[in-house]
Amino acid sequence: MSDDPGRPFAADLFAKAMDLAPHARSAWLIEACAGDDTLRAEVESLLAAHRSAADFLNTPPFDADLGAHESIAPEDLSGRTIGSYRLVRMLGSGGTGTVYLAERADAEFEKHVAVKLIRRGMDTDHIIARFQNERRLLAALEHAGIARMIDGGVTEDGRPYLIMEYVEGVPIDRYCDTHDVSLRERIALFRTVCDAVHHAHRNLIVHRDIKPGNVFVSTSGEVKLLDFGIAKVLDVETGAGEASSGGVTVTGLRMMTPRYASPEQATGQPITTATDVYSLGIVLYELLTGTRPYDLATGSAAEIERVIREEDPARPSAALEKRLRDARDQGASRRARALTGDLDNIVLKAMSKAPPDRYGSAEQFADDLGRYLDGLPVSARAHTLRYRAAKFLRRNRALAVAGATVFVLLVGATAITTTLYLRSERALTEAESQRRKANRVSEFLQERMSAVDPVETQSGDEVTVRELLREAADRIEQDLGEDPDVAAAMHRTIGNTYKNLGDYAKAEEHRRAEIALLEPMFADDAPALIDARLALGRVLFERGEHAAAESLFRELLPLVENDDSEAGRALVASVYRDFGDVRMARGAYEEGREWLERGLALRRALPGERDEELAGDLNSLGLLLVRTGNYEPAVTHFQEAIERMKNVRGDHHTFIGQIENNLGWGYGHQERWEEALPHFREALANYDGVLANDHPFALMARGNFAQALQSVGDWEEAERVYLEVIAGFRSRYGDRHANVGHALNNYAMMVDRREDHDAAAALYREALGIYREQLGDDHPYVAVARHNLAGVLRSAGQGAEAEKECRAALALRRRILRAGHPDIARSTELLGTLHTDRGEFREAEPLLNESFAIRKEALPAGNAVTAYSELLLGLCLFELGRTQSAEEHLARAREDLLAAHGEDDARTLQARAALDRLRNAEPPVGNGETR
Amino acid sequence: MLHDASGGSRAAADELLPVVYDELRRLAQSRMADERGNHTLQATALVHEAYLKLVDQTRVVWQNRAHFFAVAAKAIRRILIDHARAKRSAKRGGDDAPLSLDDALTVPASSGDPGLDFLALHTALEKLALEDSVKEQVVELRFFGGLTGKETAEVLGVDPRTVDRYWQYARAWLYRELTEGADE
Repeated sequence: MSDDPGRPFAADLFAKAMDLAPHARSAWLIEACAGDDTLRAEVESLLAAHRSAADFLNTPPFDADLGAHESIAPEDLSGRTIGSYRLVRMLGSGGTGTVYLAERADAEFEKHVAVKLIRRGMDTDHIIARFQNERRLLAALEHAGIARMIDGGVTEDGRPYLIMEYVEGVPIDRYCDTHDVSLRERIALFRTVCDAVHHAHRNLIVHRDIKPGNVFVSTSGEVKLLDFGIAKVLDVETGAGEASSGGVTVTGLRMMTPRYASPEQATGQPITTATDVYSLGIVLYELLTGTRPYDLATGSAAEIERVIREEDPARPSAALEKRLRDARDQGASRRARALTGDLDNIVLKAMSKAPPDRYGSAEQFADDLGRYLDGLPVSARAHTLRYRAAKFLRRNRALAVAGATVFVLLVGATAITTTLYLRSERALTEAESQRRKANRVSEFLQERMSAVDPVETQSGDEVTVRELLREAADRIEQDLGEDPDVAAAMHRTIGNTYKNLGDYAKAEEHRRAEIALLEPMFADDAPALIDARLALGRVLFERGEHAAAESLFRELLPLVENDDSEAGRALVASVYRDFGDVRMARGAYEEGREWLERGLALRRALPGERDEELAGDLNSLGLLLVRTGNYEPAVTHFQEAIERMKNVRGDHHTFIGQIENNLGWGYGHQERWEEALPHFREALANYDGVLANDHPFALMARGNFAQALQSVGDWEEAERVYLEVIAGFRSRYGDRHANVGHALNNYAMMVDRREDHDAAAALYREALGIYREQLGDDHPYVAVARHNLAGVLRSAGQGAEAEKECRAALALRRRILRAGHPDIARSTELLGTLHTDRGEFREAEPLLNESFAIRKEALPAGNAVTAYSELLLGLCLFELGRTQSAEEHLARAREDLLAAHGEDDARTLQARAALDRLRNAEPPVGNGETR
Repeated sequence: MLHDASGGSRAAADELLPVVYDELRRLAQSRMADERGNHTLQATALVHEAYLKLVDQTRVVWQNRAHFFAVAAKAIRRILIDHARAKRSAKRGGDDAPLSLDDALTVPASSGDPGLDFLALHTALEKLALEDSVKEQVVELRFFGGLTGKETAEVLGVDPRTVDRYWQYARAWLYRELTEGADE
């Protein structure tokens, strides 16, 4: 055929035909061959071959094809003597060497041993040196379940060998199949494997290559592990050095059996005892299901690595069911059900991708299996779910707030402490005569300053304002020393401007100077003096000097309450509001609410347009309603406040920014961060260009913004903003101000999410210290910081410490908050969870019940946080065997979680897994065997 | 230089073959920790590894990387043929070895292409070489060496589109040869 002169043409015609669309080829070919039927047939047959060739030759051969050669006909050394042993016959040969049955040459004992002679090519100096080291360790390993290492050495021609106990038996998987071992017996047998592995681990020896072929069952039915630690001895470290020198990444160079290799082995990470736990998990998976968890048959090293690292195996029950169905087994689903739940969870926990998610030891693995056999609750469930949650988190960092047990909501909110216009007017009227006498210069200055007051003009060029203020302040005494009335007015203007600039220390200074000038001139109840002292009170309030502000307001109350005029009643309403604000700030929510409601009612009863004042009242009351967990009315209060403020101030004003901030803050309290976010943005937009970036209002709004960002998953941006806010608060207020505490507290949540529990705990402790120092031991924020500290201690595994803090937080909350306050639910839930962590479900149940009941009452129906509470309650009831109510709760929780977070969410999965377990509760013992 | 490896001095390449052959086999064997012929790596990975090792450690002067790959592809082909021959003779006389301390390694049937008979492929390739030895080399490099079309073109010093055409033709030709072998 090769002489056929048509051939070269055939190749050309074939190539041309291939360039055409398949359907066009034949017609073209007939024409091209011009009647040469032989040529046409030749090309047609090639085209036909091309069509059927599919993937022919597309995949290069594997190294196994190259390496297997030697194992066909290994050099048989039977009859030779190695050390004091004579090789009797070859037992087998593998990748690392050949194994012989041998007996002592001196025949002193008729003892058989196995001699493993290491393959040529693995006899480098490095390997031999390590080999000598390791075998001493291995020789010390004595356990009934481990084939003993008897001796080892190097042959005369330099090949290392090992002498091991000879085990007559078969690999565990074959043993189980040929002996028809039942499910329970398989598990029991497997537990003895774990015992042996655990023994080795306690001696710091990791097997590294656990697979059925290394787990023998002897003829007497005893488990023997072979080749313990051998993999390490023989691990060829050729990869690392050369790969780096050549700049080529060569994966898969480690000695491992891919089918049983852990992610850390596949990726060349450090090997630990957890590696063996993983391989044990795969072995158990195969023993229970008769199938492999991963399909690694075809694939490059990179693909194998990817599968091992990323793919989730089918649940053992599902894998078994599939296999049985494929084999047309009638009882497939019934038999698969025996694995559903606990066994699925146990196996998958052992096979977790991340070593920390697996059992801490082979012993714990065996223990859990023991609990399963005894019909006791197993530990695997929670951790499997935690694994899923962690996996979910890796996929979607947005899962943040509600899934964790720690709930924190501590964000800045601001009361609107406007200058009282009515009051000012009255003061002005009374001071008319003096004002007439006022110096033109001071009048001019005042006007100029008002013109640059950022709140008045809503255009903040702060540098200019500050310069002007400083200059004016310097000149008050020298220019106006003779005229205290005008000087006081100057101080008032300057103080008010400083307050609006957020410089409360300077504001206080000028307000006090004003009062000092006015006091000799007026009686205590003179409107000018009352006005000045109220303003001072508000500055103190803003500075966080709540106690001082409160006592000032307390003094003023009786002085104003007697004035029954319209202006007088308006003033009273404002003082009520101020007093309510300060009581609220000091944690007396119920009392604060009374004052605020009285103030609002009084103001609403007054004639005339009072939108701005009403907006302030509504805002304060809204803040209080949020703090007391009455979210819905809070939102309507804020919304009304915004509308009213817009009536007088237009669409953009810092006041509107404040209320927007507070509205977002209210949504944040309900974990409705997506809704909160635009309001914080709106607040910042209202501040932008008016207030400096480090203005307290801007700092608070940005702190809130950061929290919302964090909660919706934008961690990087959130962290950046947090750090700015903390720095801003520190420079504004010093290190010990409550606002610094808030910022630290919120930032700690962020740090905690990164699993840096120690750092987070330190931040919470600092915040707690600040709160106790600044606000006293009984303030609600003290409870918040303690609660959060408890949560992070729990995450850090310090359950006892966590419980102490949590109990303290709960006790305080019960004492100072109204019954049914949502914060109480946070603490009962955390305390309940601390109990369930320890398996104390009876103690947990009433606590979880309470948190669920409170949330159900306080939050809108179907709320995700309520659903999570219900999930926790359902799980607890399930543990207590109250299946009926457990199922009710779990079903509803699942529905709500599904609606709120979607199907893939860790919480939804958790609810579903629990329901599955509940509904497929294992049949009684004895019914769960595979055959 | 490319010519030296691909056509011009075949003898030079053949001299180097044993070195590469041994190295590849040694590497492959040291990778063979798996039981029952679970494939671990494609030969390509081994070739890269062998390259690093041999370039570093032997005094052999490699004209260039392409030169090495040409030799390596040939070495892999040779190893597979030897292996297939050994397997055939082992099957004749062998019995099922008892299980040992190590997993008894049964011989894998073949590569990612189950059922592929390397001996038959080898014979067919020799036949194809009579028609056009460049096409034989294309198959050697692409299949045994695991090179891409572009790399193959580089080794052979021809246009990548030519390599694609030859590869298509050779695949069809070999497939026909192996499926209808007896009739030809």
